[in-house]
Amino acid sequence: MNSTGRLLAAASIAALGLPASQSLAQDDGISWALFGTPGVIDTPVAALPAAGTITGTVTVLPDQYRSTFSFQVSDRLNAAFRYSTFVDYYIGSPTLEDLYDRSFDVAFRVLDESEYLPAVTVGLRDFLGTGVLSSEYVVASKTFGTNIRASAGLGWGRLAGHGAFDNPLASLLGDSFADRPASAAENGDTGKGGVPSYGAWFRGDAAFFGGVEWVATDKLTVKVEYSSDAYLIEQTRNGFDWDTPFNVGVVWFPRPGMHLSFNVLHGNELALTATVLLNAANRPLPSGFDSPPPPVQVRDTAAAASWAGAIDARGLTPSLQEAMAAEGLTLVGLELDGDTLRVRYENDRYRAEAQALGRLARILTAEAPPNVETFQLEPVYAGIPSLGVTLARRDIETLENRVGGTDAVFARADRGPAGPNDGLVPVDDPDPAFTWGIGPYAGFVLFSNPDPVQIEAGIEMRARYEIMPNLVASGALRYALTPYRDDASISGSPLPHVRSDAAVYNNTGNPGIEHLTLAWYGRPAPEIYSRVTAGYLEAMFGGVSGELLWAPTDSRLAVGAEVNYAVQRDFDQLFGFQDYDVVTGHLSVYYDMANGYFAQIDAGRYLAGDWGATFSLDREFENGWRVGGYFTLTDVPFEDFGEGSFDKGIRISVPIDYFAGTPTRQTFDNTLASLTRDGGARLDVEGRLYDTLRSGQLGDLQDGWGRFWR
Amino acid sequence: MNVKIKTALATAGLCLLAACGTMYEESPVVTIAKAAIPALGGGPPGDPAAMPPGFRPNEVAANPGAYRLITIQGLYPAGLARLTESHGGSQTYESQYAFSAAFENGVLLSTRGLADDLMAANPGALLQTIRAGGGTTRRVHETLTGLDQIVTTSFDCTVEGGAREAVNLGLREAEATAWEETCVGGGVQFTNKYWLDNTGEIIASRQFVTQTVAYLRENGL
Repeated sequence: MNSTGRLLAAASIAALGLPASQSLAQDDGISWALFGTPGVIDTPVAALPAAGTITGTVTVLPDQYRSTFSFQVSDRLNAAFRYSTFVDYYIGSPTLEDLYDRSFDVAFRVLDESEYLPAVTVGLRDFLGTGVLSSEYVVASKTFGTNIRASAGLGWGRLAGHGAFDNPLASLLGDSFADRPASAAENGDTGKGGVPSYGAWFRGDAAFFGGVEWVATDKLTVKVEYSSDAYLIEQTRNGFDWDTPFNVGVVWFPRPGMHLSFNVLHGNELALTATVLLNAANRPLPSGFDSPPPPVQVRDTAAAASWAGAIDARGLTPSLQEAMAAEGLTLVGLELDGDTLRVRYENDRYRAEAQALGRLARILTAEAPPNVETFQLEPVYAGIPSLGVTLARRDIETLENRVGGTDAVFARADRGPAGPNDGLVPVDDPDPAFTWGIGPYAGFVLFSNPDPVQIEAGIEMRARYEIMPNLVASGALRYALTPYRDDASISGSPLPHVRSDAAVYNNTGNPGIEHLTLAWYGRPAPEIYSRVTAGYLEAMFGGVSGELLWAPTDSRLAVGAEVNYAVQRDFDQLFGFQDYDVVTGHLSVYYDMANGYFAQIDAGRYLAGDWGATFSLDREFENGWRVGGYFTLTDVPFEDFGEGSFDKGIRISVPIDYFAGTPTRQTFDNTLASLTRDGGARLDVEGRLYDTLRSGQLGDLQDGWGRFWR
Repeated sequence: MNVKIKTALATAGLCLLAACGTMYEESPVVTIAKAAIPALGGGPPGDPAAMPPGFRPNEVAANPGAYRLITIQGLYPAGLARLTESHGGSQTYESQYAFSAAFENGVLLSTRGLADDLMAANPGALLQTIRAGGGTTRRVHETLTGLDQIVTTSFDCTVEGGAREAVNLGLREAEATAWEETCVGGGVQFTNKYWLDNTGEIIASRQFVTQTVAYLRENGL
């Protein structure tokens, strides 16, 4: 394949989520086993993949299916969310048949492998669910040569089903470790779960397990395992034919980023897995297919000295506007004051604001009068400016193409709040005030009984009328083409049904108005921003939403407050309302840590009238990927909340340019919630301030600064 | 069915598959589909068959000194690149295939638009070493990582050569002094080649960009 083909293939494969330039599977010989996490077959290994590795694994066992999303949060920490279907779980029940179960795993590598010592990992499986799959383990793995890894460990819970002995921890930590309390599932209460089962961790009998993985070829790994998982639940309910603790399997790597495994379990049963993986940290084409930026035009010193100042801001506008439009930037206003040119602009193309700043600075070296020495650049978000970056023209002229030039520009740039509107010559937006579009949409409804993955797709019509840059009316109407959800009935929740009737909305409101709002954004003071949104705010609620945000541009901290009056919409998602209304609101704290983590706390009143707080922690990558988790605790008792006990989930935001290879600010956002219930439910209003403004905040700006000269 | 209805139905069908209207932002579904299926309009911006304004034969003939011939083996065939900025010894050329390359005294400093670009380079004392008849030198390259971070790699280089040989300049052949710069660093080894005319100027070269792109071959017309 020639290089053109190579690049195109990389882009195409990237779009499918399969980075072409890497073979993670083979990198450490790691494969994702029956639990959808690194392992031999039933049992785990201590080796963990590179930070940023994201996998999706489907496991087919006799009368059991598991879909697992796994994420390597850091070098040492792996987290996984699993949705399992246990066929014919409820023996003898007249109403229930299959069990649909959600579970979370974590694994932490406490010791790295060295020349003589193995890697050691401690893990918890199904530590937050009903306990059907729960186990804990300590496992050590050591590689021998380049193609053999042996692992051995000690397991509790499900991993102590065969060959069990008294818990050695009981003699070390006390008798409370001698017995393992029954899980919710063992108590026959599969409708609960969702809270950490601390009292059972590392309790009860323990058992040894171990296995060997042999990387036979680049495409095949062979595995043999002594498994302490006795499949007791499956033996009881499904007639699982367990003959021996030994398992054998083979993993086939048909192409980079894809694993298929075939396993013979315990002598008589078969299990299959299919895994796709990518690494969020490895964009396949690092600099992308972005068009080359305009070259920096270096001034003639004599021309600068003899400049008579015969042009003003209005005279500059036409050619500057045209040059910026060619780079995907919209000129909003400018001010020419002595040797300083202030330019306010809107960036609709580049995910990294630094790239837009760099391109604009390049343009200004050609467009600005030669006596201009300073560029003040002010990106605008939702019609309001936040950030102001001051660059010395001389730096742009001298640092292009220079080693160290990227860091030098960042160090020398002055970052602060955008300047006032006074003095700016506004520029008419050449784009029409009214825009509309019709196109496809697609999304997933995940982990809804009985189908773990339902695709929701259809046609969406959007319209937007920009009355002023910061005052916008917009709406979206959707018509779903996918089959209706088959569990659409009014829920039995004892709380106001603010979310639990989602399927009824989905089935009744087609076509339905997704939102129809008037939104106004403001900047009442430098570094303080405001938003008021009124109308049909989201699919289930209408009303008025107001928000204030304090967000210094050169700080990683921001604080916001939001108050909403929300009225529940009719199921048909047209113009009517139901009787339920509520005043809801939150105080929010946002903190972008410098180490790739982002924390957010929202405390206040939720849609069902419950009071509490949501705690979120995201692992953020500089290239725009975000994977995180959240949980919400409110004053709704766990019993009233229903299955899952409280709201929690995993959220993921994928920058589309990672796959497309061309510049775009689009993201694909999804939340893997354990369940959608009424407690801890927050209004889903579009355009919240922090997300709207964050590209100009220090954290995001610094993350993308490598693209300044790109 | 009359033409208007047919047109309306066809338009609706196209909207289903792609997107239509006056909103500039297309659906992420379409963006990804374009990337996955280059025939829909994604992939590299440079069309090998392109002849954009500024590259027409009469324009080239009018000012041949403002053009160079650039080839990136296997990625883009031999094509013209037009001088878009020149200051001192630095020149930036934009290719007809929508990528650019910047040189200083003929030595590659950076590329843009090649998906895995050379963001900046410091070739060290390369030209002085050539003028001195060969020796060792050190160069530094900056590239972008998948995390948008600049990574710097230093290379230890050996410069040798000095033999006269014929070099193909596309439209003609010329006699030139050939030099090779073999560099090792960061787990990579590459060999740049430079052909210098009698005045000591580089008239043709083959220079390393990045591991994905490999070499850029260029010469004046």
